Amino acid sequence: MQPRLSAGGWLPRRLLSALRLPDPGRVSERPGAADPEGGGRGKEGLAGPREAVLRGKQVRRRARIRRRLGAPSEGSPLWPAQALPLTELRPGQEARVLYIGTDDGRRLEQLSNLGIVPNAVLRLLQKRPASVVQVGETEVAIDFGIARQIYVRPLT
Amino acid sequence: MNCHGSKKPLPAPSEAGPIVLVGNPNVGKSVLFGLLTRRYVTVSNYPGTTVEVARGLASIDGRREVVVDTPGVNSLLAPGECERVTRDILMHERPSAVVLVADAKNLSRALILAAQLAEMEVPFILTLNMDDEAQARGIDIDTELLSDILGVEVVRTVATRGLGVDALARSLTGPSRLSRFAVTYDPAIEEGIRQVMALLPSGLSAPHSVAAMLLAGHDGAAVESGPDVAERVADIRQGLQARYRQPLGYVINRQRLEAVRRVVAGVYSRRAVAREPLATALGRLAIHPIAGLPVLLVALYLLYKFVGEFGAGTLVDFLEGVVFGRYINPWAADLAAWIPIGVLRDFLVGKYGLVTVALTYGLAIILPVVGTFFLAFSLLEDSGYLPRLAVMVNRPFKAMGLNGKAVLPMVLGLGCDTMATMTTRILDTRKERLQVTLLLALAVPCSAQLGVILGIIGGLGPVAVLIWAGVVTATLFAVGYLASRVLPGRGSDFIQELPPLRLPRLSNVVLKTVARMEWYVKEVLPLFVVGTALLFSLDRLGALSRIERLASPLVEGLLGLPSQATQTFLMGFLRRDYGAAGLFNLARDGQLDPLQALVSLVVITLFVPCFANFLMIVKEFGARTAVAVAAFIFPFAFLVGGALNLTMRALGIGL
Repeated sequence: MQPRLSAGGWLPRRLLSALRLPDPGRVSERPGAADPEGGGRGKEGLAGPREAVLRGKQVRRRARIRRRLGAPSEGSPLWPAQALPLTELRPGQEARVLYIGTDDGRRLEQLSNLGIVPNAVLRLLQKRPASVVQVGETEVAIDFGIARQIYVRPLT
Repeated sequence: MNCHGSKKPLPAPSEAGPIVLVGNPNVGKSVLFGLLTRRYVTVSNYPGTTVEVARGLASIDGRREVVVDTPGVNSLLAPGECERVTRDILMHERPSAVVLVADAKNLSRALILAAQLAEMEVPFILTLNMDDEAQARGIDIDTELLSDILGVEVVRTVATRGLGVDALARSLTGPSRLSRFAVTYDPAIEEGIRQVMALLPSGLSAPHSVAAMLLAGHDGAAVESGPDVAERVADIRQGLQARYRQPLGYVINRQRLEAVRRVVAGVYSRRAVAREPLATALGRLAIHPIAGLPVLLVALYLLYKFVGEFGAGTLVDFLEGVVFGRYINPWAADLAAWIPIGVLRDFLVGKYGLVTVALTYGLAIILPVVGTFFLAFSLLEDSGYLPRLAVMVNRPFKAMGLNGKAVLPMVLGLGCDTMATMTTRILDTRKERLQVTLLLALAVPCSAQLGVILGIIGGLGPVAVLIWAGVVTATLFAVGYLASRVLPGRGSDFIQELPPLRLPRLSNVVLKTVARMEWYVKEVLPLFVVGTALLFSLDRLGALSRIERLASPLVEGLLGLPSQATQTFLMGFLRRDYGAAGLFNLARDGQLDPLQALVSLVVITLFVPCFANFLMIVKEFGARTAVAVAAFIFPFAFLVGGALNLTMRALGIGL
């Protein structure tokens, strides 16, 4: 049984469910809170050969996904525990964009034309009254609702 | 093409196609355009759109060439009117030369356009403008290497100081080179492109680019072909899309961006600099959540003062009272006295006369407001404060389903609603434009009205002021919110680039303003003439007094106002300030008790826009929409007024 997930963006359900063992009993409401190492958490106290096989499958699936999405060249994992939405950075922090959780073509296009794409480095300048980031030599103000969809990995 | 007062005869432009300027927004294209053309500039809408395009004549190598300034775009292939217009101009006007104007410090964003131009097989010259700002940030670009890689000429300029413009003009004397900057996509996509290219009609220019656009699903690449070709292209696209999680267009964009990044990495370097430019600090201040507020209030206040008081007050008083009042109208009346036909006389100088009303209104009353607005707007535009203003007001506007960009028309509405309705063009979607237009017509009193309203309401005490302001603001937000729910279409995303703050170049500002004012006289003034002629006929046919009689029971019954109020409301439709002034007279003569005064003020604030505003809505949105808007506002204003009247009486609130 597939766990029901809210706000998938362009992350397919298959991908998200790959990050946790299928557990009809415990369903996480927020994909953003997905803990990449959480295969174990989802099934606390369970051990044994079946779980080991499932975990192995999960690891291989993750590796496949990482290749598909093009993980950053540093070799660091695509899903570190520190994947944050842009809105959770501190002002002044620099971060690298991991993915943008929306299907909206127009929005993706507008962001990409300003340089906000996966792998781009940006610096958060302020959070109120809107999120303002600096990417390259361009400063961009982004509404909270959109900024929340931009997942980044802090560099500082 | 117009001559701005010069006595020289207009030279004929050369037969070659125009020189077209393209580039990202805020790179100084207009300044460069101004430097190249100097005179003979017109600003007009590209046919069928609300996008402004400036055209002028430049003197290149002794020849007169047409120069076209396109709207700033971040990508030639994105959907959206500005992008479509730029593409159309590039593809259909057969430019003799294209100048890609880049912001030197944001080279990668310009190179996205360069890659697209190369793909579209459009030869161009690259000019790295704002070189001074780049230098101030310690940025260094190896222009020779860049020129080699791209295969086109690269010119450095600082348009605001006129540097490098001669070199640019020189490079325009010969043919431009076609860039060899071809982006190679990944094998699967290249294969898809090859397959689509095989289906395209032969003789098409830039088939690779067209195929890529079709795969990306852009409407811009409309190609004449049979339905089965379209189907096969769709099949190829579907098959290709299945291999990628993201939309194909996005994948292609990103691969293009990656190619651009590699080029930039090779030519762009940055040293650390001791100090950030002052403009950066000021720019941060302007959007600071706390410190930005006083800046905002000062800016709005200055705007209101300039447009609302100087423009709508001083200038209008002068033009209406002196120029028209003492000279033109009496002369016209004297001249008209010679005409034996009574009807014709009235048509020209009567109560709804061509000269006395239409021209007076259009030239003496609206034009100064329009002119001062255009001036202020150009200053805000060129200084870079405008987008910061939008950031500051974004949150409250979101409550109404709009975003911060709508602040400008709303503020301008306090000066003149007709003008403000026209400026809704800066909004991205039709839904937002319609929503703001509705709110302007409904709840934003124009300066002519505001003065009289505040005059009357002052005498009613602070409670009345609060109630009036409260009712109008609540109506604004409530109707705004409901409209965003009910109107079809979508709002736009608030993703706003913040260019650095700069000192506006006055010559550029004046040039833009004058060109826009000319356009106004040509496009809007005729509206006033038509509208006045209509009113004239209605009056002649006795229809106006009939309307007055019909409306009376409503005015007296529901609103509890004396019968003379009906006439003031009617006049309010023709001239908003007349309506308010009529009420002022009633109040002064003691005809209205405080509650009646308050109710009538609320109604007149919420009431239908003045006639010019109505016509402007017709012009921008079509007659049906305009009638629908009016049909909503009429009863709604009365309802609110009636509710206020009944509530206040029921609760026994005294004033």
